[in-house]
Amino acid sequence: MDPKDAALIAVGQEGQIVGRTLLQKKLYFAAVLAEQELGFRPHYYGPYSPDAADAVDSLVANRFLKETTETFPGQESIFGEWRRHSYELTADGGRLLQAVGQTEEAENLREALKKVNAHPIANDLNLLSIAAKVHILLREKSPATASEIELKAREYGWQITAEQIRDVAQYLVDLGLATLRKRSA
Amino acid sequence: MDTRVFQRLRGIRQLAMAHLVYPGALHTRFEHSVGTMHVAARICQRLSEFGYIDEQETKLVRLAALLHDIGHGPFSHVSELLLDRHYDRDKIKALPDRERIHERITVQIIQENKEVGDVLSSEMRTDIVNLLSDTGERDFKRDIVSGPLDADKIDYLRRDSYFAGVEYGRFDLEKIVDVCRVKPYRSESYLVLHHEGVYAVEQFVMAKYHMGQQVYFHRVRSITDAMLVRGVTMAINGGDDLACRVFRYDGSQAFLDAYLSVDDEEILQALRRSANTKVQEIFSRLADRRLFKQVCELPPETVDDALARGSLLKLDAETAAARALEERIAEKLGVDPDFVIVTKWSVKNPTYRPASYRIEPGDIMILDKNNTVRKIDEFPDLIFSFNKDAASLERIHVYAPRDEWNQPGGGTDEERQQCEKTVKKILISNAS
Repeated sequence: MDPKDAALIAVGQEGQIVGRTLLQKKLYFAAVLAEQELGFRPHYYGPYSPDAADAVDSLVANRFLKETTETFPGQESIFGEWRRHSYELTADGGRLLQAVGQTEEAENLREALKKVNAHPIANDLNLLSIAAKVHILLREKSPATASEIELKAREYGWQITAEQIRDVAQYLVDLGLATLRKRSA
Repeated sequence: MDTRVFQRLRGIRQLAMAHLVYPGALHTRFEHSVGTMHVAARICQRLSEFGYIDEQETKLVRLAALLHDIGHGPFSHVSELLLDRHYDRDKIKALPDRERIHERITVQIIQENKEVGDVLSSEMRTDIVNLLSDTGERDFKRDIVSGPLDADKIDYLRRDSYFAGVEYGRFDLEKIVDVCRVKPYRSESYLVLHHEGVYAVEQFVMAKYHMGQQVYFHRVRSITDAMLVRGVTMAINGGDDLACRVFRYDGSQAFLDAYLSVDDEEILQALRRSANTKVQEIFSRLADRRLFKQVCELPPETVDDALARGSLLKLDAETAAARALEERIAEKLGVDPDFVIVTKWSVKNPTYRPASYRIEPGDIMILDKNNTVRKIDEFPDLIFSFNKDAASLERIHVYAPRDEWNQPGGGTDEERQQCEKTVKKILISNAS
């Protein structure tokens, strides 16, 4: 699916998405569930799609999305402050969404987004980011336990604790992307 | 360096056929690779003065810089696109998300090529591949080789500018090297620049933008690239033996042997003699500089109709949608549809920085007076602070033969405008 259509559908579904990274992570899970290629690959901060990032920029530049920025001084970050973008559809964006949102592919993505958004984690950027990292590790490295995932994460330079893995495990199970097994004695 | 696999880079021009616009731009990936190693060594030398890097690590960074383009094929970036489009999907099934074929070829050469193996240990080759990869922990050594302000860009901007005979790519290299520092953050480390060098960094970013506008995406150069892509694509689709052997990656040693045995000139000459007369025509035109003309430029943002604008934004070269347009335009212009090329051109606007609390891959970082990392757009007197409206410039371009425009009295402004109007109408009506 074209990442521009995917971004429009994701923003349109919720009315507003607060945060570029949150939008990326939602698109990541939606793409996985709907089996659509949106250009995600492991990056410094987990799965990242430069195509999806460019698509959002292009939609803003072409008046389909409205971007609003807020800054939060004093928050922990290498920059000493956090900055956050919010995205909403413009009127033109709404018209375009109606046109592109009728295909089976669009419907599949919308259904996938519904599942992604149905859990409270979906709006917690930190947990959603960890869930995305854990999922990519499960998919590419097939670790079986939380401590194995923790170890494999280091190969990508990601710091994830066993506790965080347990926090997101149920979300991945709910999405049908993982199964939980009790350890045999 | 004295290996066949490295010396072949002398036959891969840095800027494909940009010499048809800038006659001096005949330099190759060979000197760029050596230059990148030199710049990387200069940065390492500076960082070693602060104790950030030792001799062994410097050696690794220099080697990675030297080998960063070892996987480049004929016509440099043109081959990247061709490889991605034409790799053998029956044999290469497990291509990880977004891995580019030329990246895979680079890794394969570094890890498997016998000549490289004869001079570099297996451990060293693995470390080089890791340094060239963009996954894993952020490390300043990786930033030196491949980052937002890396030795690669520092070398190619100045080198391309010099050989093209333009001034756009110039910036204060000495200052940039002088202000390089390392900023550790948690378990990671970043290559950052001391704030005293912020104007040199601004020069660098503007140099990149202006080189893009004036050289890399120059109208005529874009036409030559599009003609190369179309010509090779037609050759592959027609089963041309050489084109298939060189551009249909299948992971085999036979592919690598073929890939490493050719250079720009060999492909040009071979396809000029292709049995396919259309392929022959395109490569003869390139050799004789009888280039297609840009018959239309359409910025999607100028289209009022939202649906048409959205549809134009998604248009891509060499797709079914582009082909349908090419057929309609060809009919109107009275030319062969294989010789009409609809393509999208886009350049990122360096003055646009989507603010974020995280470091995005393209961010250059400056260490301010308080030892805090800032993005370059936070320095209020720089041009970055003035223009944040558009992330990128996107244009739909259409190229087609208009040889009559080269005749005395041909190609008047009126004639060109009329042609553009006709083609624009087709693009917009088709998109609506």
